[in-house]
Amino acid sequence: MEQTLNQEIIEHLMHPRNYGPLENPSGVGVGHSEQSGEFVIFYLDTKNDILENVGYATNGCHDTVVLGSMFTEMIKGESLDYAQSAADKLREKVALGSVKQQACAQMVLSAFEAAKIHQTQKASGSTEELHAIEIGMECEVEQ
Amino acid sequence: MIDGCLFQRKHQLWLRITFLSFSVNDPWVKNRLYEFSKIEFRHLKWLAQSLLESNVTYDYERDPKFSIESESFFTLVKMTVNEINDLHLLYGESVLCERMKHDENYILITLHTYLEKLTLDEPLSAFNRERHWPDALLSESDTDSLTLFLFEELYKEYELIMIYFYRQIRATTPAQVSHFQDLMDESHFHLKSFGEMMAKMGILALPRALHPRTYQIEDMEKFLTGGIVEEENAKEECRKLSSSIHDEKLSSFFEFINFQESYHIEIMKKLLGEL
Repeated sequence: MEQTLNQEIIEHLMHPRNYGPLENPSGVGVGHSEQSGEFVIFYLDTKNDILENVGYATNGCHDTVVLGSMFTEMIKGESLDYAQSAADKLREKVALGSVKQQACAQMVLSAFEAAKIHQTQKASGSTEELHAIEIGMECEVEQ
Repeated sequence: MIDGCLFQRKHQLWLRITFLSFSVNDPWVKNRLYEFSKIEFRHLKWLAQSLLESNVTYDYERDPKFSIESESFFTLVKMTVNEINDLHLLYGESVLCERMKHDENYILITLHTYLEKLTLDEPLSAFNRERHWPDALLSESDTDSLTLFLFEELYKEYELIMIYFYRQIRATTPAQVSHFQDLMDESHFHLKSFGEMMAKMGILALPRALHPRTYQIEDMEKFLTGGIVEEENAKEECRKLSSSIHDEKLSSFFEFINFQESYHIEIMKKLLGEL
C-alpha cells in the first residue's frame, strides 16, 4: 500500500467508511493481538442473511483502517455468502503483499469472523456481549 | 444539565476549535483559536471530573455527522458559533457551567469580530487533498511517507491525549497527576505540529473516534509497558523519516520529535514506578 498512495486511499484515510459502532447489532466480533494490544471490533446488522449495515473500529495502523474501510464498503448491503467470498478474496490478495498487510488483514477478517460467530451464538440464545478471536500476528512488524 | 451528552458536545467543540486553528492561514487568528481550544480542553477536564464525582458515565463518541471540513473559513466560524449557542442551551445552573458559558461568550465575541473582517474569508487549502508540501520540493515517495506518518501520528497523539486524560482524572497520587499532565502537554504539542503540517498538505482530517476499549485501560502497567515499546517505534519512524526525507528543515523537525519521544519513555517509567 505504501508504494501506491492514490486518491482513493487518501479518502479512506481521511474518512474511513462505516467507522464506528452500530446500535443493536446482530453480531459483534473482535480480532485482537494480546501482544501488541491492537484490535479491530466489527459490527453486523443482518436481516434475512443480508448485511443491512456493518461497522468497525480499530486502534491499529493506517493499513488496518484502510482495509477495514474498503472491506466494509464491499460487503455492506450484500449477502453473508457474498461477504464470506469477499473475505476469502481479500485474504488471497494480501497474501501477495507485505507481512504487515497480511497481519492487518487478518485482524480485520478475524473480527468479521468473530462477529459472524457471535451472531450465530446470539441467535441460539447466548447472552455474551461479543465474540473475540486472538490473532498471532502483529501489524507493528518490520517490512 | 451535566451529563454524558454534554461531555460529547464539549469534546466535539474542543476538536472543532482545535482543528479550526490548524486549518486557518492567518497566524494571529490561528494562535488565538488554539488558545481557545486549550480553554475548551480545560473545561472538558473539569466536566469529566464532575461527571466522575457524580458517577455519571461518559464516552468519547461523536455525532457521526460531525465534520470539520469546508473551503470557507467563515462557514467553519459560523458552525462554531452555532455549536456554542446550542451548547449553552444544555448548561444548567452550576459554578462550572457559569464559568464555561462566560469563557464561551468571550469566544463568541471574538468569532463575530472575525466574521466582520472580510479579508479573513480566504479559501482554505487545508482540505484540498493536493498533498503538496509548500516549503520544499519532495519526491513522490517522500510525500507518501510523510502523508502516512502524519495520518498515523495524528491519530496516535489524539488517542494518547484521551487515554492520559481518562487516567489523569482517576489518578491516585499527585505524582501520577503531574506525569499524566506532562504526557498530555507533550502530545498536545505533537498533535498541533502534525495537524498544522496536514493542513499545509491539504489532508487535514479528524482523527478516528475512540472505542472505549482503547481508553478504558484496566491494566495500567501493561499499557505503560506497551506504550514504551510504541514510543520506541515512533522514535524509529521519526528517525527513518528524518533520514529518508531530503529536506533539511523537515529532517531536523523529525529529529527534534524523535528526541522528545525519548523523554516520554522516561516519564512513562516514572509512572510505572508510581503504580
